[in-house]
Amino acid sequence: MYKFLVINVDELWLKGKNRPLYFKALKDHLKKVIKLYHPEGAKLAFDRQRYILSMHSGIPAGTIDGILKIPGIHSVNPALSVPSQFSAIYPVLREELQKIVGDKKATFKVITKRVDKRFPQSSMQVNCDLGGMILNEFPNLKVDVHTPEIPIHVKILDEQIYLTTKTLLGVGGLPCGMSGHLVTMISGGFDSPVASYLMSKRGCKQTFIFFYAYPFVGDEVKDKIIELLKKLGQYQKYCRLYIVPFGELQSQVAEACHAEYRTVLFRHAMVQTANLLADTIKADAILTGDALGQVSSQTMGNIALMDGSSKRPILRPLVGYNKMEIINLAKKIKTFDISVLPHDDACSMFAPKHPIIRPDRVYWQRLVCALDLTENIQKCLRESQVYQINPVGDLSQIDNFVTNTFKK
Amino acid sequence: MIYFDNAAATPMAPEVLAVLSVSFKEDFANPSAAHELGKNLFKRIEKARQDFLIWMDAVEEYHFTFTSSATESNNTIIKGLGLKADDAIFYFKGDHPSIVAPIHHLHGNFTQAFHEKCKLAVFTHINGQSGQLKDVVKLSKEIKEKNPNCWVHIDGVQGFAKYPLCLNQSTIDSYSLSSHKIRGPKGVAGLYIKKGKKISPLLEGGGQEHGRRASTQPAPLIFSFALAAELAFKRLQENHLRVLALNEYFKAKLLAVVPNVILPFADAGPYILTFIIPKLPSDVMLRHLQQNDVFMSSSSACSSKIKGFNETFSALGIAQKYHKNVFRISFGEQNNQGEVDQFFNYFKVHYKNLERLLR
Repeated sequence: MYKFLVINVDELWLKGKNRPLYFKALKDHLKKVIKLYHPEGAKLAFDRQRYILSMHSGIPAGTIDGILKIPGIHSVNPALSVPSQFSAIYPVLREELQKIVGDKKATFKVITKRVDKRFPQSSMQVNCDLGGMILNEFPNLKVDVHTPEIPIHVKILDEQIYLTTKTLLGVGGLPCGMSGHLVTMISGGFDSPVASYLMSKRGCKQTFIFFYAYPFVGDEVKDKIIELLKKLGQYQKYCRLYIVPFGELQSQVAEACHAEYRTVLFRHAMVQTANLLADTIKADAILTGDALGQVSSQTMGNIALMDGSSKRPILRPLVGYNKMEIINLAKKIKTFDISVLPHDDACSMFAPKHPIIRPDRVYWQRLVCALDLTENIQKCLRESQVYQINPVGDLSQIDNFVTNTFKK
Repeated sequence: MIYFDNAAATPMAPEVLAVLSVSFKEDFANPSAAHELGKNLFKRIEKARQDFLIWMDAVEEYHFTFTSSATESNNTIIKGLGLKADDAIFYFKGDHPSIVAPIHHLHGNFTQAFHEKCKLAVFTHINGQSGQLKDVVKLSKEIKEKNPNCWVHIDGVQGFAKYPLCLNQSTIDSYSLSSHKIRGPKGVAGLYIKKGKKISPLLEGGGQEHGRRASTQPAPLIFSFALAAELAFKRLQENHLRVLALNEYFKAKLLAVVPNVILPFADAGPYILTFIIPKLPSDVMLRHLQQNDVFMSSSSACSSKIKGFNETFSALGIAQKYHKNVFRISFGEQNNQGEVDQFFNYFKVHYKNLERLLR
């Protein structure tokens, strides 16, 4: 285990005057994650636009995995540290190379980044000098400047020099919360978890809402949602899940319209509920896993209806994705194995034989004007179960403060 | 609460629970111990064993062994016979998993049609899903006529103490049963084996149960199981008639509410009633009813997690398009007509709503 971890940021470089705000958000997130893994504390330093995590006992792999899921982090390097002078580098590097290559044949390249320009040798000079020393002592190593098997990074920062041969990529993007707050409509399928992941990367804080159509569906779907949130919560800085009892409302809605409009009207009720929740928790937009044309409720016509019923923008990051592309991402973020488990879906249970694809706008307008769901939706939100998920993916049930907002 | 899932488990009879709680407190000694406490328990266990033999008219020709579950009893026979991998075994695909799984585990040469080379034949006395009754004495005789060396095992879990059966003079080699289906506690069960027949024990150790099943005997469970069985045998006829009336009453009400209901097993006994309501997912109804504190089953409890295709239903001849629409009501002697009325008060409302929503 390495005692140091160099944490490199992603798009924060692109920011101008508000860059400190982004760093502040990222640091806060980092600290919260580190605290969960190491309640006893660990040192987090800031050195030339990078964070350096140091722990005397070494940094465990689990901690590194957790850090890699923090949006805004480009990559990390488990590293060795030497004092900021050239002569200190080689003895430590030699020991490290003996440990990782020994007598095996391999190619390498020294890549020096001299951030501290007060350092006497130039980057190129450090590359050449160190390379020469390595070649002298390790006959089994050869230089390959294009695709080295062992890239040896020498990062010369203000305080220390960090040596590392390993780069682990993070999710990248922007720090959590810097791009606003979303109400994420989550189901047990493949799409919505992937949509959530994509918007986590883009710096969105999320509050999840699940429409639980019990007793039309069983509790296995709720268990699935909870398992999914254990994964998705790791890309968030403490988020919440609202499990909204929707069975009663769904059966009312089913009877309010022509059968072929049922599915769209359910979606309408869900969007209304998500908006009402957004009102109380001050969220900015709604997030769904819609992909254009994937099912009948995701046709252009029906997407337009939903946008018309929502007072907030509806983000659909998967709109242009094919199913296989979505599934590949689901595998990458490890939600696939959960989403693939079979469960009953209330929408398909109520689904008409021929769902409407090109809705009649006049009928629809009359329908939604005549249908005031506010009171029923408030009741649903009042009766929701609320969970908090920490960045390690642990859930705990918390009080539903919405109950107070919508007191009868 | 209205509980119509007695084929899965029954509530303990109050008398049984009373005996159990006293016995748990007092009968803590080890029945194999050399002191008086142990010896007394041993004697009482032997008395219970004798009672089980008497109730099934098996005193002369059978041993009775206490086990922990009917699953263990079934496994004891299938694994204890010393069958070889290519020995033919006859059984029915709709049997309980505690029969089907160990047979498949043996990689046996299993068959759905009996032939003379079969070394083991398994029959279920009352099928747990369909409630259909088999004349196991007659079937056993037919098997032995074709092959006297074939072992005949009966899974009697749903039939024991509900349907009369005399083991003496039958050609049945073994018969398994369970306590929690007859208002006794869970964790205790039994196995009748014909005298002179050899079965290697599943559990070896301290030689309890006359060497047929090692393990410290759970005296309190055995005593309360024996009481539950005693009550059931005493009231066998009376219970049977009452449950039959209840079953008829239920069916009449069901037909009135759901005219297109399918009753696939006309020859079923009274304790289990399986029906199909086309297009109505049974687990959805199950959850609606459970909100009213009403409990029933949508398929055999051990397989209800499987969605879509159900091996047992298929073996029983239920078309796959109905596998999600199967309901099972199983009565206990404690159920009454008032409960059936109350059941239909709820059922009718849910049925009307669901029918409208799901059509």
